[in-house]
Amino acid sequence: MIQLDHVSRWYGQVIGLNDVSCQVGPGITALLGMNGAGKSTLIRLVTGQIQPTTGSISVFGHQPFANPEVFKILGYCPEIDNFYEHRSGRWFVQHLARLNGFSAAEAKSRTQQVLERVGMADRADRKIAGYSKGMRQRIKLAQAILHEPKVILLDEPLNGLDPVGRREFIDLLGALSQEGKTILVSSHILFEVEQMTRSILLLNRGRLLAAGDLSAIRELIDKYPHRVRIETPAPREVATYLVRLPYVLNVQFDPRGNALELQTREPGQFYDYLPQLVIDEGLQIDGFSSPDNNLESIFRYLVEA
Amino acid sequence: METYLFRSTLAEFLRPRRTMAWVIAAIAIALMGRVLISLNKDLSPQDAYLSLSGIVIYKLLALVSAIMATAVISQEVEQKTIVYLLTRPIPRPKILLARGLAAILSVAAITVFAGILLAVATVGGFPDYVLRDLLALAVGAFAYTSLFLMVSLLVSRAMIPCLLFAFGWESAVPSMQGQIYLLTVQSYLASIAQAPADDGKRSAMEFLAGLLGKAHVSSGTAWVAMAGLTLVCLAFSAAWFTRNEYVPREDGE
Repeated sequence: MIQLDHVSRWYGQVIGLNDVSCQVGPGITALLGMNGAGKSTLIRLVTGQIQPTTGSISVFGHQPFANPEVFKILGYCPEIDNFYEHRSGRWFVQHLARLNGFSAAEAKSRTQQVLERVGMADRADRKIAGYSKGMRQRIKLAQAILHEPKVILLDEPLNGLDPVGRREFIDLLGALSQEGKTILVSSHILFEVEQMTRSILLLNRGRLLAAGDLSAIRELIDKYPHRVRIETPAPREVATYLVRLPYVLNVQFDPRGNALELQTREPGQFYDYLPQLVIDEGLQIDGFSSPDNNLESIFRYLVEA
Repeated sequence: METYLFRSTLAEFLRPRRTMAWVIAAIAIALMGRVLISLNKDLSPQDAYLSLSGIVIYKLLALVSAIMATAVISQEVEQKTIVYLLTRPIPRPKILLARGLAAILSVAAITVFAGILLAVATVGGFPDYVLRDLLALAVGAFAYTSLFLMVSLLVSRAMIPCLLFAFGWESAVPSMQGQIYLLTVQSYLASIAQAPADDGKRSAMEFLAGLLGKAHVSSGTAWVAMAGLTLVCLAFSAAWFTRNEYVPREDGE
């Protein structure tokens, strides 16, 4: 469990993180925010690289700054793309395994296992200088998980990965999450974060704007009505029923004539009533979706608010 | 962990690609000694050794110390690889001391090697004054590297003040009037080397180089001073490194 209690961090006159309190438990939590929002500051604080100006941080009960006890249970995949370029990926991972306290034999065996897990076993003996961005990301992930930490922090891990690599990366994080790890992933690629988790921490200008489940957060944003898109071959007929509902604010038709989009302030009631309406009136509905029940919309709404 | 960190750092500091330039420099100094003796029939092998040792090898010592000391932590910060080092379960003082000791031994190995080559090329053996000189070089490796390591933790771009100290302060101050020479490392190393006393006849080149061989302090005092300097600098560095933040440069928000 990662816990931040009224944490602020100043860089001279500039505030990096402003009175942030939150908890991160087992599973994947996404740390979202635009550039300069404070994501890297928060990650550096949790990984014990910097100290909070005020407030306190604990990682499984330990304050993290320069604390070896924390680094026994914490794996960190930094955003920076710097390595010992003249060394091979295998050397790099094995070297860090040794610094984690494993014997030479254990480090070698763990390195092989973790390189296989991140899909780098066959390319690990090449010099890092010749690696692609995706290969570098995999090596960074390998060194972060080689000691089977309870807590894994990943700073923009999807940068530079191709679509297949991203899928594999997300699957791997899912598997680590299933093992009970506490995983905090910082990212600004909202679409991919959505595929990883529904649990988010949203930062903006150093402040924590929202924390928790995406859907729950979305429901709290009552300033913006929820949009529902209904695919149907008879949008005008369906609309005549829907506009009668008191919680439907407006209806717009898709110019292609195969769908309509409505806005409602009571999505729960609407979704409960819709199946009944379809059965009672014999309406043909091919599908429906909620275009703004996603991270990008929530992020935009919260930041605009 | 600490032992591995020490060994791996030592291997890194002494890897052939990194030491090649120093080896070439050591060979060049030895060749200079041979040439000096060949060109000047009045010059004894002892004088040739002591001149080149004082003018060149002790400067090499300061230069190698500055480079190795800044590689201990500040180069890792510049290269942004410090993050991997600081997120391992090793206490920070041990990280600093393991890497610092590796740097000290690397400096000692390089400069003593240069001294041995020079001795072979000029004197053809290892008389007492050569052995004392090699010992002083090793002590100098501890003193200079510890001092420069501390400086590298206190200021960014530490190479500049380190080189200014090595080639400015250490060259000029021993020649100054009064007891300000006590604030130079070279004065103490001269005492440890027990180099011949200053006869007052110094060439312009020797003056500019702050030539070793002008022992003013007793050998015992010199040992205590160098040990004290090394211990204080290392202890201060360890404490400073433990309490302060080291994040990749140009990456801070």
